Amino acid sequence: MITPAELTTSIAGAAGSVLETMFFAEAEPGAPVPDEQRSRMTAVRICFDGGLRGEFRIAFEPHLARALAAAFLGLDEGEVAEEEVNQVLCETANMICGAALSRIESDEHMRLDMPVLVDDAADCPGFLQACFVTPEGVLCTGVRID
Amino acid sequence: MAYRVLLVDDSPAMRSFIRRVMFLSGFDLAECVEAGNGAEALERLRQGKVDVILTDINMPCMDGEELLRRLSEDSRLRDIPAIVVSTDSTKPRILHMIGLGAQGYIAKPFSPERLRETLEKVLGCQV
Repeated sequence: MITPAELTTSIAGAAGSVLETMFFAEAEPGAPVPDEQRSRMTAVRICFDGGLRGEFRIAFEPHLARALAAAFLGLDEGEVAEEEVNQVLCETANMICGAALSRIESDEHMRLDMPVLVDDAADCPGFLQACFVTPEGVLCTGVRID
Repeated sequence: MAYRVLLVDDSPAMRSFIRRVMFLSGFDLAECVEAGNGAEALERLRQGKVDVILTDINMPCMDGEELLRRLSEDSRLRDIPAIVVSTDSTKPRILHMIGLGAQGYIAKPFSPERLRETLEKVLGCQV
């Protein structure tokens, strides 16, 4: 049985690896974000199944979301359409969730649902949460094992 | 030699990223044909041959597993090397996709060097 500490470590490692490799961005662990700040973030959720079943969420501050999309697509921030920002956030969620679960359960089958945007980024009761600070803003992850 | 690549992924953003990374890595890319799922990929292959296929697994309509099955069943297509690009790097999944005919497997996140090395290995050449 995986412990919360192992889960947090795996997600942190996956987030750091994805941001560095795919976005050339660095992230440091940060303090928890108040609900008011989190409610202004753009959030994505992915349900997963396999050896572990549950839900992963990730939320991005608006400027960070646009900066990541621009870096990913090789465009200036002003050139990135809102739809493209959302596509990149969904892909980022997919990569971090997939990488984290693969680290935890390398010998188990895993299935990820399609990532979807969440209306209220602050609504994540029962999730084990972690936040990361980048020069462009904060991102928060959350995971719930059913 | 410049190569014609079929890139199969339901995310336009990921297709754009991989296309750019192929270019930045120094890979000799003649043309990048794109498809949003396996069914579209088969349609593109009917329109013209490619040297290598890069495919995601989890896609709507027809996923990467079914695409590999269809490729292996078609005598005109089964010799085109396919490389899986996926967030799933669990051993069962990698072995399953290799068993279906994938000649390479790239786990996301990946570096430009990793993409180029895998393309180079699968194409059996110095790119």
